[in-house]
Amino acid sequence: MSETPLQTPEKPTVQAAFLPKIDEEGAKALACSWIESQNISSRKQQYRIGRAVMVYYPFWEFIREDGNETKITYRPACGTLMTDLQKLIRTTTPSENLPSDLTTLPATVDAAYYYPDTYGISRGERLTAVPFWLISYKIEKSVYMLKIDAETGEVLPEWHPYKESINWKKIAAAAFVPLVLISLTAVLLHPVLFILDAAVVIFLVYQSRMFSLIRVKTKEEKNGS
Amino acid sequence: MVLERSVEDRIAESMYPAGITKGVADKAVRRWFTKGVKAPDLAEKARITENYLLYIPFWRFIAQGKAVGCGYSEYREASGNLLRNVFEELIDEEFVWTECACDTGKYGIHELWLEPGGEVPYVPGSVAVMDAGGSAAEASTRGREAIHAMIREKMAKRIQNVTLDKTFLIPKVFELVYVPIWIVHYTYGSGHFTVIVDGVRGEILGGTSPANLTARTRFMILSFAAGGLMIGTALGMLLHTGTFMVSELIQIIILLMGIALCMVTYPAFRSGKTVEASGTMKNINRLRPSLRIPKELTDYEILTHASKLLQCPECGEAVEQPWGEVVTHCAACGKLLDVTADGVEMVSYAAAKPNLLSEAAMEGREPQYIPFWKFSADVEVSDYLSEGETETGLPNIEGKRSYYICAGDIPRYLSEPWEVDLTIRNPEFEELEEVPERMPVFINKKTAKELSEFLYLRYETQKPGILQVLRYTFDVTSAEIVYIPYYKEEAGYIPGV
Repeated sequence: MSETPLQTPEKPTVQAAFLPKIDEEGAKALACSWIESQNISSRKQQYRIGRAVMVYYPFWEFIREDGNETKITYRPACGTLMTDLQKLIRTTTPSENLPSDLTTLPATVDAAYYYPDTYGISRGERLTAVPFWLISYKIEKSVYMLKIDAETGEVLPEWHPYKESINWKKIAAAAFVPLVLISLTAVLLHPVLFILDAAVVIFLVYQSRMFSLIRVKTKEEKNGS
Repeated sequence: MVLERSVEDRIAESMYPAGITKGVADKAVRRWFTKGVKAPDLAEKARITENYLLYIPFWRFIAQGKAVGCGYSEYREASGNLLRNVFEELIDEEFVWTECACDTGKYGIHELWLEPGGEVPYVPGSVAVMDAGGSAAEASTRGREAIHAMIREKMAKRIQNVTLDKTFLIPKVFELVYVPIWIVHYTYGSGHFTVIVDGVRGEILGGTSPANLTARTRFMILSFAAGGLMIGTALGMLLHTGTFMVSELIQIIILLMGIALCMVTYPAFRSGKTVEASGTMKNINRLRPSLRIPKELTDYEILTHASKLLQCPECGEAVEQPWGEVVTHCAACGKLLDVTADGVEMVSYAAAKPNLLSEAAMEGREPQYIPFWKFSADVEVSDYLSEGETETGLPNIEGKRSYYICAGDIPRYLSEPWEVDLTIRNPEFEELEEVPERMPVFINKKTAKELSEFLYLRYETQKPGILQVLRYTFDVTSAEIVYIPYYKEEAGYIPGV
């Protein structure tokens, strides 16, 4: 067990923020179009958009002079398990007029933590708030989530279901129907027909790779490829 | 509900240093890609998009669990005789409880997978951490309850029917410990997946991955073929008028089993589990997204040791509490003070003068004054049953007497016999006007009070016979600290009273 240092440093304060340009409805619309573009399910009714929450994530903005260029990089100032937040790219400049209702997640990482990753001559750093819409959606019985950058509208998906190239109903039917019929016939006519059952199973298992490609459709691109 | 400002409940913050680098984590993940029922081309086609180190906070409560359990187990012989074995269990072991102190959302990390040891002090901001949330006080309560449950579970393993069950614990550490993990996000086709690697040992804790479609297809074919075979055969037998080896009831059972097999396996293989997890990530299957705003740590001032200014109730002097000590003395007026989160309470104290016999035997040597909590208690036993030989030469400690619990930094294996000895003897002593040298007090009043009851119970179990029932009341009327002189010898200590 180790002792805890009694001195705790002061918490850094947010000095700039990217202002959200997308409202809740807009974010939900973007989420819907993204889910539909994934072609996860054949029926649109099978997904349901849930709650949307806007969260400001704190990021360290590092301004570094590297040769003739001034580079601005962003690194998260809080621990997060979310995807695509480690190396945020921004083309706009954050506003120093902070929104009145601005509440960010607590900053738990010092800027010094990222110094080994930043190159060039230091020209400043500040804590910047970046807004994200966190939107949940439900497909069948599972709940999933995606993030939408509230400034740029970019969709940053988390773990999500994706369409598999298999028609499971066809596979089930291909295995089930012949076996029922052959077994029925074997009982009614002659038990030697059970050998046919075994042959069908071996054939299907051997040819399973063929079934797994049953629904693969190659889309033709605009350029004909 | 508040936390005591004591070594037992005060929150320390520590962290495990990361034992593996980014490259090692990357290698471990790529090796994991090739194992299990995953897409066969995963190692080739997966694209790692992010790989970063993150520290996850865990509450950890370590306590010495003490318990007395009595009861019996019964079993019936083939001849019909009912045999009963009586048991008397004494538990005195260390128990560790951990709980994740932040919302890990879909990853469902629940408890700590590392043993205590090798931690270093946590310096805020020096590493990327998930912010701890919730209430430390409530976590402490949950930890205590969980450890009591662990002790009972251990007892119940041997005793079928418990007739006496008393559990106690001496809290050792309650801390917030940060544990490093490598988060690896990757894409495969249009899917996004994540793997979590233990940052200390380099093992895969869990993750999501695309499943092997060919394997799933084969399982689906085999299960539906088996189902079809069963259904077809059963239907054939039911429709046919001839006689078969199996009865109609069994034919119907085969039919129903075939249907059930198809109904169970279709959703199982169609959804295709793409999740692997170790025990610590037992909630991962829920895949619940972390949409909630993380909770603030409600008792942040306790964590940061920024509690209100403590003042001596007698003279108003500000009280400094040395790290780990639960009872301190006022620098101005010299009063002994029990410091809790609620405030400061005065504790009466006395120092025993070594008796003439010990002074003569240890002439020229100075004793150490070891602090003991002395409780005046009244024990009334209403029900007592012990099986086997119950004749005992040990004195009875029921009724009114003083119970002594060592509060100093002395190993329990040494101090427990002293406590029994002092409690049985209840020695008379002359009081010194001033304590020559105060040894720090490390066990607070609440814990010591529990230990005094345990002392009574342990004493009862040590008597001959197997204790089965003991109903009693244990009323403590007063408490004070008594500094008792002990002479340190090479082989141990010699009491001065």
